[in-house]
Amino acid sequence: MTATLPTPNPSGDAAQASVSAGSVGGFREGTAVSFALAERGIRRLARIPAVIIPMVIFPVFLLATFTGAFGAVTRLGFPTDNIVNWYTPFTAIQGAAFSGVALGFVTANEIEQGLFDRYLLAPAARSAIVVGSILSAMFRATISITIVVITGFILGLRFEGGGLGDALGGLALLYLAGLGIAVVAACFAMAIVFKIKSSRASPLFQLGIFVTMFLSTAQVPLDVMAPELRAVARWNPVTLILELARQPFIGGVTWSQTWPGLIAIALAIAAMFPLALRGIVRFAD
Amino acid sequence: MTTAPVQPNAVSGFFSHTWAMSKRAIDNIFRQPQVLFSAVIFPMFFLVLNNFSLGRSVELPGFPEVDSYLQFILPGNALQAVMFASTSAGNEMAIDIEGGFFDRLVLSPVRRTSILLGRLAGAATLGALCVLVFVLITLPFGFRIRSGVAGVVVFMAVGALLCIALGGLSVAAAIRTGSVEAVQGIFPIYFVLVFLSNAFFPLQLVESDWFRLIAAKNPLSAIFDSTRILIINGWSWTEAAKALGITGLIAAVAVAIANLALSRKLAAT
Repeated sequence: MTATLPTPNPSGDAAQASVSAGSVGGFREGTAVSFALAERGIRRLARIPAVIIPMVIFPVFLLATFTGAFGAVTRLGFPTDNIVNWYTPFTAIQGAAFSGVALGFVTANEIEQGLFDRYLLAPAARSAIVVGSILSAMFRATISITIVVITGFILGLRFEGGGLGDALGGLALLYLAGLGIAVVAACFAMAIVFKIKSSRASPLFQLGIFVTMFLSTAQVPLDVMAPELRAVARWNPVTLILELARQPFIGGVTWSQTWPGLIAIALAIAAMFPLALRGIVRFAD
Repeated sequence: MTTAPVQPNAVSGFFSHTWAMSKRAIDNIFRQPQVLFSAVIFPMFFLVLNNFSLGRSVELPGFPEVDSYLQFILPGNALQAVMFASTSAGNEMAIDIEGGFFDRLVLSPVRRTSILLGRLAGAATLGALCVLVFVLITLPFGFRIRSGVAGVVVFMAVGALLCIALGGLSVAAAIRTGSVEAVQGIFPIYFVLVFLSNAFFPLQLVESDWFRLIAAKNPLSAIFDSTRILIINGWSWTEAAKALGITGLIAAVAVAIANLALSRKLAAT
């Protein structure tokens, strides 16, 4: 299903017109706009191939370099002697997060070029625009996770614990964790871009996501890290999400390691989606 | 007797144009301190993070004699900041292109090469500043550059040259794509280049053969090694020349690539 994005009104005062037009429209129009924006985001990948670097090539290289360089650190007390098992879920989720961050770049660029004003003219709720952008980020994240996991298997990733059912279920949890992070990162990036209205805001959300990802069990388990980092990582929701995603590769899937990660994703989305929504409403006003 | 028309001095014109463009780029750095901040804060964060997460690596048999893991990774992180800063040259160029300022510059009598060199002068200043910030911030924590002021100057010069090198590549990408997003996409590559080196882990402890092979050939490893020796061991003409020579060579190639991209764009328009 596709929808045509509106053109600016003859007076060129797109922002003002959007105030009256943007908040109307039903579920059907909203869905059409969401899918149109998602489709546009997907087409953008083909048009500017360099856009794919942060979300696919970067995590793949990070996986290769981390596992290549730090293999010896598993001797310090990791729950696995295979460094690839430790880093693959992290880099997959990081790639998904970058899919959300990339959406921030796109949004900032569209605001600077005046294109975003046209989106605001769409006869749909603001939430439809945000949802469309999120769908685009989720599509990118799915590509990223898939490529990272395939790379992981090439580098020596192996399932540990349980049978084929557990392995496939665990893999589904990895995708769930990654898509959840992508939604959170996209909402976070959009909230900042709507506030600053410039691509100069990019380092802010890029840094925010990066820092949050690494202040967790991203590199080493809690027992191996220094107490200063452990104090932060223990309370970082990303640690729970990583625990959720790592299960099939470290000991097998258990409910006790699953539900905390699911709750963390749900709460993070519940916190970030309203921020993005409030951002677009204020931006339009 | 006829009088030849007065021609502006080509050399002084070139220098005055380059100076004007450089001043604009350098002024931009000081007008936007967030560019320096965002370049430095990230590697500074990794310096602290890696020390806290991988600090126990020094317990592994075969790790080089160092006071701490922090001491080992400092040169790598400082130059990583320089690499991140280098993308700002491309960003600014892409913004100029997207905003139409580049077209206005091209229509003006400003020399084309001066447009490029001005951007790279800004990058060089930013690179040297990044190193200086790292040196100043770590001094209170007991870090000493054993090669003294000369070592700091070489370290900053290496930072400036490295920023010109990678800034040149990002400027080339900006000229080619005209997209800020595409230039931002280059940033992670620099991140990866640092990781495919000996910046954070000694090569003698690396278990992966392919990684050890690539890292040993990575010119960054040689640059990190030389600056590490200057910082930890003391002054060495050989190491200073090696660090400056390698970064200078890469910078020359990158400037040539950026110049080629500029010429092609101008020819196409």
